[in-house]
Amino acid sequence: MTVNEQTGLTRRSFLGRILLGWIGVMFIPALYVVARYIVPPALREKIAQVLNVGNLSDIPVNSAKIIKFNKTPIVVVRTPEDQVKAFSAVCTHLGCIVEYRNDDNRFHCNCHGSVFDINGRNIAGPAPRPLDPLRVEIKDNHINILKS
Amino acid sequence: MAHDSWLNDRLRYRTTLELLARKLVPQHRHSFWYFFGGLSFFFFVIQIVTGMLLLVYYSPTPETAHESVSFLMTQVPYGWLIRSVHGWSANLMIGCVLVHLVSTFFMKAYRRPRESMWVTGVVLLFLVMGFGFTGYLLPWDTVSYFATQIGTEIPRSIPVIGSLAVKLIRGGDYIAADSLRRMFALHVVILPLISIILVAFHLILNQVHGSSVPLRTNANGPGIPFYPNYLFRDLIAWTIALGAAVILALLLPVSLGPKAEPMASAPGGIRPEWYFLSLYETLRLLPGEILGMNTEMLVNVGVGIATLVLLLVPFLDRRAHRGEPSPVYTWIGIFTILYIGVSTTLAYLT
Repeated sequence: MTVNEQTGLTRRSFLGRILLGWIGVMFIPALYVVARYIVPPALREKIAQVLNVGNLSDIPVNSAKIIKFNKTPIVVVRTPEDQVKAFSAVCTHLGCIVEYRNDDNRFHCNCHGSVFDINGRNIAGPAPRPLDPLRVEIKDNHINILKS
Repeated sequence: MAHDSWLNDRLRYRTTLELLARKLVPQHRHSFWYFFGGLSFFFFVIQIVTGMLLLVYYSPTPETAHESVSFLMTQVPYGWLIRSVHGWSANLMIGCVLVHLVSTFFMKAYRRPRESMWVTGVVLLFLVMGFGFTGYLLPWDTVSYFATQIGTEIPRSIPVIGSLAVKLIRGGDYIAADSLRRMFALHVVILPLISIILVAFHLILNQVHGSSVPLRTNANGPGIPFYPNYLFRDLIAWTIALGAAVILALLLPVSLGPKAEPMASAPGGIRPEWYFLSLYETLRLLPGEILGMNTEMLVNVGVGIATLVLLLVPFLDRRAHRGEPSPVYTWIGIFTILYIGVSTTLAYLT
């Protein structure tokens, strides 16, 4: 077998390296394409700034309603003191949707037992922070939720 | 026989059988544990067969998934049985893989030259748990929806790549049609392909290296031939395993809850499968922050380190390589099993 004195390579090992290099050249762009492919593209959806929830009478005192605002589930609550408040309904622990209980006027996450008070503050369980609040506007008896 | 010779001329199977007859399986007081490797493989085969049958009727969209499973269970002859065997066999497979891994760990069977068998075995354990996780969402019922919501949220706290990881798994920001498609693709194509390649590699290595005899254990003679003696014992274990899966499917058929409603509050009693309960209980009991740091992040880092240590055990336990006892690793193993056992029991009780 002829060995090149300068490089120490045989013809076969030289061709082997060329082949490995070629596979590498083909593999890297393919990997890039696959990596880009599996990351979901951002959808160009229109983001609403205001959501009309309906009439005040749709939500009785001391009850709540869960609806979708853009892509986020939100909870609109009418407190026993007849105030309307709105929060993201997504528990700040691991993303379950919270439930308003009118016996203790608190939001409960049934997944891991987090509890939030009527102002959205985390008061028990593993939730690390309060529920994200949303601005509420009542106009002509209509409840509007505004993006914070 | 003429047809036997005709087949052998073309397939050369007698050469393989002769090789397998020459391979000896050691016999000693711990050799019972060898069965769990074969049982894991058998349940894997059941999963492939029942999975293919389920595919005939399953439809992977949020609008149709629940209905297709419901149709399969109520209208298709033996559909409920096929699904229940699939569900129970999955649990039994994970149980057998766990027992196989634990027995391998305590028998120090990972020592030289079987390091690659250990590493592929650990990866296969994570793959079968991945099968469980990805398959859980497919019926699209309330419990599976919220359990997947929780499970896919956990990686978010991983520094730098957390949000991207969640988006990659879900195919978006929330569990929706894209998530179902991704879980389906992973469950029926990607994970099975990777698993089949790894199982083949694991089995070939097992044929090359043979089964390990634990340290300080006297083998009873040279062992028994793999073919036909040990294979027949395996077959007896497999028939018992199939019977167990069918009896469990008959007595405790896998149920289907109400269809998932993404805009409803999560109901009580959302829990993952039993093999994730230890992690679930850990997350439930710990406060949201520890020393000012996010608990999920700490748990993620802890699980990452534990996984790395588990993978590297053969390279870390140098005493076992030298044929010396390594009680530190034995005690780490006992403590880990106790922790998983206690936290899983707590999760069941609460």
